[in-house]
Amino acid sequence: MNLANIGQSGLLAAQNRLQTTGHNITNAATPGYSRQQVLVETAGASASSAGWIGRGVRAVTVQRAYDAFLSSQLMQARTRGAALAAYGDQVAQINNLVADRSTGISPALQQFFDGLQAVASAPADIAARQELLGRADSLVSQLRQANDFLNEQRVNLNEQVSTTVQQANSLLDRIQMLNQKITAAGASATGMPPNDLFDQRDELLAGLGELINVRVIEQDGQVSLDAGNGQLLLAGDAVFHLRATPAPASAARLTVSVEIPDGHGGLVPLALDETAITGGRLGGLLEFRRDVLDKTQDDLGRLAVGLAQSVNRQHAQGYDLSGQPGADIFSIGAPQARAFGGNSTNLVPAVVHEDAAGLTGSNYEVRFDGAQYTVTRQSDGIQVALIAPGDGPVSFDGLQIDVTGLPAQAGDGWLIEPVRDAVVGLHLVLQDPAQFAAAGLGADQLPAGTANGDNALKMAQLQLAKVIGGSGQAGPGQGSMSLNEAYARLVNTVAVKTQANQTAIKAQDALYQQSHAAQQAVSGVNLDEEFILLQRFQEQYRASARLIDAASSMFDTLLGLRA
Amino acid sequence: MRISSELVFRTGLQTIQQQQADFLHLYQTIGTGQKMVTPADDPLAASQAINLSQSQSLNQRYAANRSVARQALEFEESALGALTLSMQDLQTRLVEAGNGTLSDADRRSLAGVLANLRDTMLGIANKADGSGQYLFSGSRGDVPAYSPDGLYAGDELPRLIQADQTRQIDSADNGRAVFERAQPGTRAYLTAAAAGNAGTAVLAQPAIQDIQQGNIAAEYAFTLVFDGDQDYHVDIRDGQGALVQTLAGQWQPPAASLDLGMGTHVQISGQPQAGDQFEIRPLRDENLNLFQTLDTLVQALGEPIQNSAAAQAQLRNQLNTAMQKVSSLYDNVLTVRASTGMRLNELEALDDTGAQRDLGYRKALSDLEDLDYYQASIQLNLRKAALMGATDAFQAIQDLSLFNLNQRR
Repeated sequence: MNLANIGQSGLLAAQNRLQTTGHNITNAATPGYSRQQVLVETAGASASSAGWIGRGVRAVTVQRAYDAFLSSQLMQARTRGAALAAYGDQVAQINNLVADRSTGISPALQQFFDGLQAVASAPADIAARQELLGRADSLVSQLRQANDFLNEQRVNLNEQVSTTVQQANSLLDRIQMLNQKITAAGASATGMPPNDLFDQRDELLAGLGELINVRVIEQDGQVSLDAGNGQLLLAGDAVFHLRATPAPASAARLTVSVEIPDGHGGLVPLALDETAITGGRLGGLLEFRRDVLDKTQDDLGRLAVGLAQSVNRQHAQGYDLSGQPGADIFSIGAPQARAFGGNSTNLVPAVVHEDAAGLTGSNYEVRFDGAQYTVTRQSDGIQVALIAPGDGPVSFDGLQIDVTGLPAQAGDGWLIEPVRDAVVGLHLVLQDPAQFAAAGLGADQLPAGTANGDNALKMAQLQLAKVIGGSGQAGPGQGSMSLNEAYARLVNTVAVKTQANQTAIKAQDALYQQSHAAQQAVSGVNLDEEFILLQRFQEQYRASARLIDAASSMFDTLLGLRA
Repeated sequence: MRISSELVFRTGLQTIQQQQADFLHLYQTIGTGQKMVTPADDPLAASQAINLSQSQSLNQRYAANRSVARQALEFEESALGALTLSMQDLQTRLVEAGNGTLSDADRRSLAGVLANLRDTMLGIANKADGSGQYLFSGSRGDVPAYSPDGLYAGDELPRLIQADQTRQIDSADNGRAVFERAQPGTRAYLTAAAAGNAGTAVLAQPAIQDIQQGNIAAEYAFTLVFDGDQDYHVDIRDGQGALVQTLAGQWQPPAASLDLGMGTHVQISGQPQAGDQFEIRPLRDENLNLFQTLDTLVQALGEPIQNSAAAQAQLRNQLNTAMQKVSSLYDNVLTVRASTGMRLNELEALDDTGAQRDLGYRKALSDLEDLDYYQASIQLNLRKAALMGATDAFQAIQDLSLFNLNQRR
């Protein structure tokens, strides 16, 4: 009985469609879900003398509404958005740290110089001297607090890098598993796309993209991944995990490596170029560290060196209450030189601060080629000094380096951080108020009396003196910024970066919304639409059932004829 | 374009969140009264505010410095006031001592009065301020300016105070400038008789009568030596002590004046003897130590002179020397007082400009940082309307869902 068969085919098709619609409705809020629809065609026709009589309807396959271009665009937007958000979370912390100008470093600086002026006005007043030391102490602790905050952020950032790497590895594993499942699914239902597995894998890929920028290469239903620079992370069944590893010459700085086979059954980490990691949370974190954290801490360190050096040097020109020349008021952390891994020697060149006005705040890389040491400024890649082993102390950019006696071999290298840890060594070393050297020299070149505040006046004038360099081109004592201006610039730099990030996030949000809308226009579930489809397919089901009813009554009619 | 339910929901959520974030930011600005919640709101203004606040705090510091300077100068001024009174008294006593009718006993008691006056003035010279710093000892604030025998123990360094960005004001005057210095710019001369003079000549009041003759600047010192009763010669020396000219002359009694050369004359009375010698030197090169001057005088007044015309003339000459010195010192103290007064005036003027500047800084900082409440409250209403609109719109779209409209009742 053909009519019953046609009715049955209609029932089946309507059932498929109703189920798919139900699937759509229930997954309307599932992340990464693409709307599915049943593709149907006519079941063909049988030839008869009256021509071709249709045989009903047939479901061909279930298809997901999907556009590869729109999906990859959305994934890129998410990658970039995650980088900006990670950067923004971090930079906002520093931005908040420097938010209130009535607390923190700037007022502490002003209070310190205010105290100097008070001593200059009443040089013999021991209370004013004690007050000055108290203010110097609070300036030191303000600078140290800010630096501690930045160091904590550095430690915290390391933890985030580790955690993110772990998450990325787990995603890589799951993507590899889905690759396998998709292959298996292809085997069990040949030619039928496993839509839900595809959606799951796409969502995992987008999730991975929110951690680190990856390039997706799809072939025969399988995806391969590389880290944007050709370094494979997933190829076929092989997963190359990420690992958080210390940066060269800086153990306290975690960076990202890929574990690759060493050829003896083990794995070795191969460091990824940080500048190639541009997206995802990792990209944002690393960019923040390079762009803001390092620079802010260097600026802070340079400020501290400028303060300690200029104040100490002027203080040494004066005489204390007992006529002795002034000793150091502040101690300061010396430049750090660190050997790169793989050096032939653990020894490092001797580096000292020569003049804060010449300091650029940049780090330097020293390389030995067997005959000469080349010093390169990292901020702009310019070679600033060329030193032969017998040259003795050589000066550049407010620093003095001495490579004498260094048993270096060709290929050895060192990283010099002139001011990064300067604040760590910042302490108030002058403890006795009577030892503050407020007095200058008398006409007879002997220390002036206790009521003389000439030297304190000169020290007070350091508040406006340009003691900090900017260009690195300045000669000794020829800085471009006063201490307060240097701090203002630090705040300005952080603020500008924060503002730029906020603007970029807004722009990225808009872009994401556009991509999202475009992708959803194709793949999204509209419940109203599904409601209408539900009605329609219900109707199809009812109508098909009527066909069987009709066939049945036709059959009854035939049976009735006999009776 | 197809609109997915997910998109409707997300868009609604995002719009509401954005409106809420804007609302919160506005709320924060209103709560703090500041335009900038963080520097990122206006990076340039944030760094400008830091530099401005330094200028403001410096300006406030200069005001505090000025008040320190004012205190010191007012303290000095009161000491100088007392000194002026004592010196006026001293001058009266010196005139009194010159009274020829006094007996040796009278003079001895006058010497006692002068010794008392000297001690009073030494007390003023060794005055200390509230923190125990001696006023007149230069940079050596911890030592008394004068020792009991009248020697200066301080130095001549100033006590500079930063009264303004570019102005350092000396908040003290040292002992040498107050108790030992002739009035600055004086062209007066000092006469002194040699200790061994046997005659009764008394010198007084040297004066440059003719400024055309080379001594316009009162720079030459004269040594007057009597070769006989009337014949004399004068050695004229320049400021470096080099002999410039020797001039011979004859005094014609009863002429009251004697020509020293270079247009300079000196009043003379009494009867000189051969070998008598007088020094006539410019005052401004002299150290006029007040206390030592008085010591010498007190000693001289204690000597009996009733029966010796020569000794009387000697005392007369010493009194003249002392009066010349004290008179110039008195003028000098008045000059120093005028200078402290001027410094106090300057401090006041700087206070005015400082206050003006402070207003300027406050205004500038306020422009950079303070919130315009009118604008903010209008914004607040706008934001409120926008937030309510966003929630209403979301609700309306949700209500329009077919599943909602066709609920089974």
